[in-house]
Amino acid sequence: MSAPFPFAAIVGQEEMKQALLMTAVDPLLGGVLVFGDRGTGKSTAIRALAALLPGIQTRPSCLYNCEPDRPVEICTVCNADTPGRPKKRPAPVVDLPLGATEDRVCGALDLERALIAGEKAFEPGLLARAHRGFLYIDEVNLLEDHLVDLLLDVAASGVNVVEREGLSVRHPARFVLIGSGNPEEGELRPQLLDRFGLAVDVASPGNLADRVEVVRRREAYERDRDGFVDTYKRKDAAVRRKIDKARGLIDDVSVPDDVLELASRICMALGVDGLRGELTLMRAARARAALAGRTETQKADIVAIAPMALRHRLRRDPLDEAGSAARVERAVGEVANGAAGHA
Amino acid sequence: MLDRVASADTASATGTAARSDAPDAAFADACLAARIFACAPVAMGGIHVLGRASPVRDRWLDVAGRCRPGDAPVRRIAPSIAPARLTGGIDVAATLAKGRPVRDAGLLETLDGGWLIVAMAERMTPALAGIIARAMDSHALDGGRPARFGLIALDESDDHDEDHHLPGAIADRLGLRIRLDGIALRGAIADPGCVALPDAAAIADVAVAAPLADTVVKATAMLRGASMRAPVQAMLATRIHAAMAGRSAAEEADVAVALRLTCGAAIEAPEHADDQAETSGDGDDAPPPEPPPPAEGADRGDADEREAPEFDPDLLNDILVNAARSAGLDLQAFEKTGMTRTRGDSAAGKSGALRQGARRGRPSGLVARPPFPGARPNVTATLRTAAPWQAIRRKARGLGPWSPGEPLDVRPSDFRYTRYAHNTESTAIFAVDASGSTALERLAEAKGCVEMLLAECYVRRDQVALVAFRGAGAETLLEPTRSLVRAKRALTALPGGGPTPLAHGIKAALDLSVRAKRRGQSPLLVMLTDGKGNVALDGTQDRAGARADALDLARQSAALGIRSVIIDIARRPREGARTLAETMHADYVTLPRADAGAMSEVVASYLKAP
Repeated sequence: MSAPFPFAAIVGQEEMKQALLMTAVDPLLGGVLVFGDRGTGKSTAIRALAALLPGIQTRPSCLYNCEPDRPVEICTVCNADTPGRPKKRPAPVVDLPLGATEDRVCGALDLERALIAGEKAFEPGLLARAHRGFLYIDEVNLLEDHLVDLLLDVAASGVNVVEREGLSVRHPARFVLIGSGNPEEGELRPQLLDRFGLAVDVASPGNLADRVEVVRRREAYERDRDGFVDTYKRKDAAVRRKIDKARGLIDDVSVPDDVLELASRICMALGVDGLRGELTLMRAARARAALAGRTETQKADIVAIAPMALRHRLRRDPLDEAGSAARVERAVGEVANGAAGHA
Repeated sequence: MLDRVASADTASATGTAARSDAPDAAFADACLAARIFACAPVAMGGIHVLGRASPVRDRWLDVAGRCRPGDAPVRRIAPSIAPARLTGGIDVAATLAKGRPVRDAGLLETLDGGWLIVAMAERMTPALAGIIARAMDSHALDGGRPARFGLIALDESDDHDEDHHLPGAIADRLGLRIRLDGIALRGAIADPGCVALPDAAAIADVAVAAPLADTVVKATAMLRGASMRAPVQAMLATRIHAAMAGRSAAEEADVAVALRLTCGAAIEAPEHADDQAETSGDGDDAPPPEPPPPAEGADRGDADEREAPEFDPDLLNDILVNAARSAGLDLQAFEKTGMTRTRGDSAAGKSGALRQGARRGRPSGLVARPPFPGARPNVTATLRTAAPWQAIRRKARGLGPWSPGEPLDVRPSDFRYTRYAHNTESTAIFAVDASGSTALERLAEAKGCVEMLLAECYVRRDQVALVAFRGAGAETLLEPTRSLVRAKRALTALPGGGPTPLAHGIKAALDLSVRAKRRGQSPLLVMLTDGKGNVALDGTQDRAGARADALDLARQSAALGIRSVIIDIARRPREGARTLAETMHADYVTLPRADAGAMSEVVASYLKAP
């Protein structure tokens, strides 16, 4: 497979890029949901991100992406008498195809070994491969219900449990869920919607110059993939350094009380259920601050990320013509101005 | 006189001027598309072929096949193919027989560098579409096995059938689209011989000047909406067309042809085009539409700013105006609002609204537990599940390797059952009287009601459709959908006023109901009317005829057993609507104020209690 389209060469789409970078900095943010029409560069951006993620330490040929000093019980590679030396390898970005079977996703009996050696062995599935990385589901809104249930369960617990066909296996599966889809083709179950930390809407560029630029870059890429990737190497490297640096910073980013208060006020004004909204706001604000190289969050962070952190958590009001993002912005505007008035 | 009528008919049917025995321009276009595809099958994505199975389609496939390089493999598949066949896997039987792992190469893998033809592509499942689309994106299968191929999707759906159409994920990745319906066989004359196709380097070297590129990008935004794949595909088609004509720089004619083939729009090549292949069918009886005077618009200024004097801005503008007309848009309005138009006709995918444990319906996968009491196991799948375990189980029982003739060790955990999926959604079809003075108000309330129902329909998995009737006929404003987003987009502008074609309204709503039924859904017809039509089905303003037609259709509805409610919205309810309800075997509700809240309560009560 040839080199993916470089992240830095994607024209516009700032909100989506920002959201993806933030989850790369803080995997606990809960993933991103990208909604938009076809052909707006959703998949391109996510596949490009894979090349920028900080690598993970694991042993070569380990199928469970074990952390070297805490291997999974069933991993034969890491539990061998003389396990190999851990190496750094790119963080996994696993594509979950729409037609995937439960066997493919969770893992199943290893057919090859069963047939040849008559051994009962477990062949890990996509969830194991996505451990410590990203799980990408294109057209997540068309995913079959039973797979959605399964994914929700694993994403919530971080553990994949397989109990069937005489197999009894459990292994950790902690991954960042990234979903994309077109809302016109069917909406997402609210339970799954809520599971995503951030949600962004994408549209293709609205002005002619940008659109022409997209076409030009795409053509240049198709003509000479490696050459094109080379020209963006330095810019991509800069993004990678930014992520690395932010990852180092994020544990030290503090959240002052007034920022915390602003977050709570916004959530109250919007009537967001539960604490998940506020927690996501906090985490996202810290990730944004870290990406900017700061060690303290500001109110501006909250204002900037509120739409993507909250828009999918609102109760739907069918008679409100404006999109949910506009509602969040309106509330943020009111609360932020009110708060400034108090100060 | 008769002659003229007949020729006008053919022209309108084919969209081109097909004279007897003259080669049909649409067919020439289709052949041109095949050649363009053959030049770069992978980059172009594929061809979306609209048209029923017919001798014309066979002839086209034959022409296309002759453009295919001799060594390129080609496979034709049916949409019911098991996804595993595409991607490959372990061949259980061969592995057992040989005692070493035997991989069954997937079809896509064996097809590397070739063409994939999908027949009846409109019946493709999202799963199959997902696998194919991903392979088209990454040019590889999981594990990096290469799978580069071009796709020819034979789409036999008809325009009115929303249930089956090519999945959007596939349609957007196919660069070229052609329509073979309406081409007469005698007009389907392939041009002799196959022109030598340009190679990749020649295509890449074709220069596309800035004004041309701008035109391509603008026109594709109008014709195919937000997708950024469209301009890339159209640019490639422009290059290929120029390279086929032996040019090293693209011209306006190349752009016009490329747009026509990639967007399916009726764009004529500019007048001074030297390439006659695509304009050859233009007879005198169908002069190309006279473009309106070029607007003193931004795009003229655009073209002038760049230094490429050899392009005639008027020609470029003609292309844009034609594109705008095909898309049903006003060019100036489009330029003002920008590029953000999206087409409302994007595929409405249907997520898993399938009843689990259904006893009938179509098979949708295998499960280890009986989906309903008394289900019969699927013997083949059960044996397939048991096969890999034979060696393990025999070893555990101290037996040697299995040899033919010995019994198989099948255990309860091996049993597999076929799961059936079956739709149980309801579809509420609103038919709203949009005539007369109070129409706007009523439509607004109906729209509010649709949105309120959709807002909660998620829980119940219901769909909603809306038909409005006014003036000379009925219009389906909203095809059955479960998407609130889609409903809002479709219902932003609602026309109202004029006479009352009640019969047309009932007919359109019945059509939708019958389609919903065919899909396995249960339709609920909700008519908002006062029951007084004044336009008959044949279009004449005739009260008596209109009444007879409406009652006829009402009887038909009763005979079909479609559940219906008539909401009488007259200020002072009189006999009209009540008689209609009785004939239709419909429930009759008077709601003189017809407000959205009350209406959605009424409809929801029907949807909840089937």
